[in-house]
Amino acid sequence: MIETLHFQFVWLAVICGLILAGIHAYLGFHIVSRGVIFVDLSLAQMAAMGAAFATLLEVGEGTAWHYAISLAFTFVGAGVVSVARVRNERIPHEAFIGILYAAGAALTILLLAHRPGGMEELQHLLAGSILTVTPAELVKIAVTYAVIGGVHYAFRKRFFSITENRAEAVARGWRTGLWDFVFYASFAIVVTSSVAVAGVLLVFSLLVVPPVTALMFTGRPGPRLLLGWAVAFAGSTGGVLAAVGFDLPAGPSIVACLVALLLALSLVALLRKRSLG
Amino acid sequence: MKPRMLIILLLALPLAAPASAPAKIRIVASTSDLASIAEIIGGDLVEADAIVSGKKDPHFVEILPSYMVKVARADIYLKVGGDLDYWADRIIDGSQNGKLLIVDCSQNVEFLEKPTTRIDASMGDIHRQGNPHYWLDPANGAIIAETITAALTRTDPDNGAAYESGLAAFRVRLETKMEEWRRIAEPLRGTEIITYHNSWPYFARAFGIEVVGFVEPQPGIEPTPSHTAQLISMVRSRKIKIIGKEPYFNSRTPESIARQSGALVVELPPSVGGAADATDYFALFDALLSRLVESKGR
Repeated sequence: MIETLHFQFVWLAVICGLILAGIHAYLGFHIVSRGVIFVDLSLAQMAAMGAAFATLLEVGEGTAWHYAISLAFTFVGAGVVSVARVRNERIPHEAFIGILYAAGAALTILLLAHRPGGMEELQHLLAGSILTVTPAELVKIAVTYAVIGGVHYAFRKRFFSITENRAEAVARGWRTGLWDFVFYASFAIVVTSSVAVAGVLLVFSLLVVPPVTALMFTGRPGPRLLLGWAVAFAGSTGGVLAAVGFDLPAGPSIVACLVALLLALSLVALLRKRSLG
Repeated sequence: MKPRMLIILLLALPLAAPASAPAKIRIVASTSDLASIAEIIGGDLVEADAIVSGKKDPHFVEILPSYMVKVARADIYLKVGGDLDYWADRIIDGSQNGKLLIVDCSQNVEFLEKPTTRIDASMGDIHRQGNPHYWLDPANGAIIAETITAALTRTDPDNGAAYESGLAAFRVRLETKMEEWRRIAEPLRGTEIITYHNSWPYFARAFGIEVVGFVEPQPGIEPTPSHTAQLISMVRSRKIKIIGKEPYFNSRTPESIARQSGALVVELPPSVGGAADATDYFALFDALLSRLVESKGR
């Protein structure tokens, strides 16, 4: 184990985990507060389906076209989600999101069914390949996320106000529709990049587990965001190190580590509540 | 003590070990077959390890941290070549081993089924150089053995004579075994079988077996309903007795074909370690032939 830590690939994986954790725990903060949990799973699956489609067209993985096709699918998914929200009051919104996920997953399987090694490709889209991430891939996602992070930082008042108190934002006359579009568009760009490296499972877990864990301790946005980041950083680094220690694939190992943290901290939260109340 | 000091000390430990036992040449091979041949030739002078055990599909490998560590410590990496183990490059890159001798064991092998037209994905998992399962012809085993001997001699010239005599012994044993195998395989001559994957053209050529169909519609593609239906009627009409299946493929479709046609699913390990009795490169052919002869006799 100690000897393995001398390898560059381990540190590339750790850095990759930290970069992913940084942006996803932040976006997850908004996602969980807005209560649109399964949108991420569906959109991540749409990105995976787009990647499968691009592969089917013989577009090389890691090229701009591959990314563009995958992103287009994610946008279509985001479009379906927002249209479904306004059309029919009697059908729950979550139902459409669930259908989008199932359809995305099924179509991904169908797209890859006649590809040589298609089923392995499918597993790759689900579990990712953090252990063989290249420095070039790392730079690409770091730059992308830095730009997105910059936009979110510049307009932080809008994003946080709409997330925390939509009614008030509407009352102030802000164009919430436009800001929602900016939010989901940036979300789609992030998810499309990260699914290619980390897989659907890890992307979803990094979005949801850190903010949910933080919510068990505090309701205030600042500390909640910081605690979420702490959980995400600890989970991703711990997951990569556990993968190295037990010789396992890194993506699923990080997911397991995040969930273990969630369980342990929820026990702490429970005990704390008892002793306080 | 600071952790960094501890790490440095731990790393320095092997340096301090007594130099009485000469270090073995460390070989990592993509597959167990290449590792087995290297062990037979190098004997006590080498230590050979395989990335893919015989029970797993060598076409697709989930890369784990330990693979990079193994290769980082190795002197020689043996590749199957012919695009089969394209994943090996990612492991070799991750290992950061600048001293590694990378050997393509398919050099000097005459490939079968070389594509004659432009290839595209609709043809399945076609390899540009031809079918990569060349180790399954014992005659190619001798060519692989020569390539490995040359690599060993280059890495460890002091023991060159020992590797040469290892190679000579390998050749003698292979010739003796080949006579025995031909005798055992006599009843199989002209027998028609179907197999899951197209792993067997070299083996079939060596022992006169006819592989007339594959459970996969194209190499690397999951079975489809119409193709399976065609196979069932072919197995029925040609009275095929044996459906060979590599250990790492799902047995549902072969079993379903067998049920509907009266044939028998026989697990055929294409690599050393793929079955309990396929313990080394020679035992692999013993294991394959005994399974086929026994199934044919039923």
